[in-house]
Amino acid sequence: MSMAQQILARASGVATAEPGDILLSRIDLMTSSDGTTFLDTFESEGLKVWDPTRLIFCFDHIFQPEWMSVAAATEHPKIKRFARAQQIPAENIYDLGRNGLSHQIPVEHGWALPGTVCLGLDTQSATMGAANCFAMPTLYGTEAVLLTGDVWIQVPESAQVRLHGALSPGVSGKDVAFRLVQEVGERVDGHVIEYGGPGLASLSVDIRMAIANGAVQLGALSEIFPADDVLLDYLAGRARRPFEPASAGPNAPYEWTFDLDLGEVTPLVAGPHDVDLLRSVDDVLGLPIQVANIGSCSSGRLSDLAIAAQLLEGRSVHPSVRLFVTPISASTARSAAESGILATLLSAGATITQPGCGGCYHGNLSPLKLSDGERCISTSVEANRGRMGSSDAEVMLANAAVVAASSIDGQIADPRRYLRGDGGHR
Amino acid sequence: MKLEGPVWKATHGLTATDLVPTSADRAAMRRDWAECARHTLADIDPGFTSRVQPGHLIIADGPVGTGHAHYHMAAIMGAKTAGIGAVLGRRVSPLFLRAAIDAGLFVWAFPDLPDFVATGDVLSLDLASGLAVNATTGARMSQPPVDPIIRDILAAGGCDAWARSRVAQKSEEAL
Repeated sequence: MSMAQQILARASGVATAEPGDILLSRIDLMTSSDGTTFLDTFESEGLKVWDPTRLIFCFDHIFQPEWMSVAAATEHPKIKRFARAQQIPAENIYDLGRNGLSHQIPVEHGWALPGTVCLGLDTQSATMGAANCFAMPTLYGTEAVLLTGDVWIQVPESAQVRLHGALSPGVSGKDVAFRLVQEVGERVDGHVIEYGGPGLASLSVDIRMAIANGAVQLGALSEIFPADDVLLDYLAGRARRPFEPASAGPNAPYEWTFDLDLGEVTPLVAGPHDVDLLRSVDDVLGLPIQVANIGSCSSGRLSDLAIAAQLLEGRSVHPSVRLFVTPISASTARSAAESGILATLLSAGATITQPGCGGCYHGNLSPLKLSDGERCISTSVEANRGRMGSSDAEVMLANAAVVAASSIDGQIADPRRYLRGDGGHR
Repeated sequence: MKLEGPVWKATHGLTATDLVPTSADRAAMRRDWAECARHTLADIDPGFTSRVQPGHLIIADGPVGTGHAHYHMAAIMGAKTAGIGAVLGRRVSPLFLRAAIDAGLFVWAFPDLPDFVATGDVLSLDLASGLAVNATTGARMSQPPVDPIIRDILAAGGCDAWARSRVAQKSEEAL
């Protein structure tokens, strides 16, 4: 069986799970962002969450669009009132000071565990598959899942990506996700992508999460990484419960297998407007920018902040550029502060915001709002018109190293030039 | 559970934005499904919404529901609100299928069905037995039966009502 089949069969109490079978699988975790749709219904109808210990809330978007600014004042208190009524433990509410993205927190804090089924409200919930779980968004099935603690699922087909080698400096998980869209995007069509190969050992959990975060753009139902030593070391001291990893059998029925040499992945840039418009950074060098953004579920992790700090140390953000940096979680912000990363970014002229989704979407709490005619290079996940402010602005997506280098130059730049040491004085 | 209605057939696959174009995106963000319904198939067959009948069956000679998930709900709720009874294709994107079933719209893959019908034919489909009858040509065809879990969700009108009924039944059994 594939990892997905093994996890779903186990969660459904059946011996086998063939693609196409309809199963009813118990879930181990439901993680909600702070853009809920179900609170009012549960309150007005007196409905009960199936197991309050397995539901967590993560305050991440801090949603307050101009046309609904009242949401900022009401959503968080509403969630906390709901939690009290449902007897959800206080530690399950990741409020400001402990907050982070709703699919980052479960991995960071040991909720998303190998071999389990973890669902999330957010569309990017497949990110949790980095922890060897079956993870997907509930989308419009959230209420049903919260009531019953199970989810109907048509067992998906799986495909395998075998990784070889290692990423070069200045190249990140976001580039791997983009590269997979280019190479296999046309044949993913709702499959689960499972990873394997010797190159896995070179990838940190940060990078794996960035790769799995690309599931939506790739068209995958989910993505699953194996529970190898890298993941097991990460989980030591974090896992909240015992777990039983899922591993693919030797004859796992993969629809296709694709081999990717990580060493051949180079920085890619998406957009403007269309995330599927993917080009080498070489093809967009020199485009002027006014805004640079490091953050969002795709790329606000410690390794992203670290590469940005490495590039910006001793340098300054270009005077015509505003650089925003949003750590993906309070834990990440603390680690970045303790290691001096935040100080380096601040010295260079970056604006550090509260942890969360940041300026990825203009309706979130963020000082990043694009004006008419501006171009932003961002590590976030969407580039459609109006996403980050004006519909007359351009959003282009790239990894944190490209964004940092571009913020120095005032135009889209190749970070490898700086990393090689030929990028100008400090 | 049985579906019956006139067929509108696409000679190719249908993406989410084929079903309801991006021109309805803002309406979708406001959850204005009535407005989304007015855009159903607008880019492919601009007159469709003036001809659509309750229970109309959209059948695609290709994959259904590909494209970014951001546009799925506009397509699903727009089609459902317009009175579409089902959207069927040779294959269906699992993300789109999941959202549609949860919303109570029958979206499913029947790989051979597009060969069996043409636009204007009246088709009936018994989901439990898999029997498809083209009332216009008189032809009959067997399709794979649809799983009871899926039929129960559709019969309840979507996953929320289905979950409530299961919780209520469990409470009754416990008493």
